[in-house]
Amino acid sequence: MDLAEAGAARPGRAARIVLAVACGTVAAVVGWALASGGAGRGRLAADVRAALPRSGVEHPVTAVLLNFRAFDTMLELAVLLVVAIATGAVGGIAHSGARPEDLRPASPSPLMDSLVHDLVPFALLAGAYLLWVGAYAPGGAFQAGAVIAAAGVLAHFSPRFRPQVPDRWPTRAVLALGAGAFACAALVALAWTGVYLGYPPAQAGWWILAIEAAATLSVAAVLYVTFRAVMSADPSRRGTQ
Amino acid sequence: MRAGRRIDEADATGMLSLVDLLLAGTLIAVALLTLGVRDLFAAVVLFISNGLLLALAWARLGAPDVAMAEAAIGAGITGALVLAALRRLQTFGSRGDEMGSGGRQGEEGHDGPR
Repeated sequence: MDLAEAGAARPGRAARIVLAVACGTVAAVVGWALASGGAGRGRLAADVRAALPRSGVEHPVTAVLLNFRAFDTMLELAVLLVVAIATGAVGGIAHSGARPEDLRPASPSPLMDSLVHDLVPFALLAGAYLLWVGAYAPGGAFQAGAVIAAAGVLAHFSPRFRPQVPDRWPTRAVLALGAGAFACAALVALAWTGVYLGYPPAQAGWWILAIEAAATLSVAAVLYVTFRAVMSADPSRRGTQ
Repeated sequence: MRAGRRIDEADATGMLSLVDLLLAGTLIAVALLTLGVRDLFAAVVLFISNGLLLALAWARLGAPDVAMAEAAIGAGITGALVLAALRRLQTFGSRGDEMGSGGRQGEEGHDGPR
């Protein structure tokens, strides 16, 4: 396509050599790290299994993500929030509802309407199930949020069922909900048990479910709003991308 | 790299099958095609296919959590994002002329059924 040529300038010879050396170095380091055998790989798995009864969930991956390494997961949610802000989604929400660009039917197809009408409820149900089942089996907040966001993206292409993004503050609240709930839980746990993000083991399952529910909403909102921001071609925001 | 290492481990336990070899080979081939193809829309479609194949590979490696995340985020949402970005690029590239609206409608036609 002529776009490939007309778009970004192709890197010169020197730049390509630098890129090749950089990629080769990264590949060599990763290969060396793998070949030297990740230190303590077996020990960590044994530690997780030993601590699993006190984590509040039965699935080791969820236990690590939401309890043993909860701080990392909180930072991931913060990164997602930054993504939503960086794409201009937060600033653009207020205008996005009433733009003629958005009101124009994306694809006026009865097939699309019917597909969205039949499929989106099941996708939302699958998202809720993934959130709940994360305590016992593969699943969890990120997968659930992605499925719900995918339902939103699908509905976006049906004029009849296109999701309405409300004005600034409600949407911003949902975007920040995941990281916010995590931070609140961390502080409450600090006051309760004296350990940052150390939930009381007896109720840890409920803490995790509550945080994951908030995180699911945030992940879904961030992904959909980001998609919406990229999708809408508003002339006034062309310079900011 | 990582896949190769894990497949070696699978081999040690007698789990490596023809399907795994085929999957690994196809992954590399599709990745090379994705980088090499000149048509941007074809590159996006190949990228999404690569994500789905990668999800299969994660599932074969015994990591269903990662497989689900890869399928939903890597292939699904990222695919939609990249398609949206491509549509936007094409709107810029041919603003005002016939191809702008034609290209855009074609794009949404492709987006829709996914």
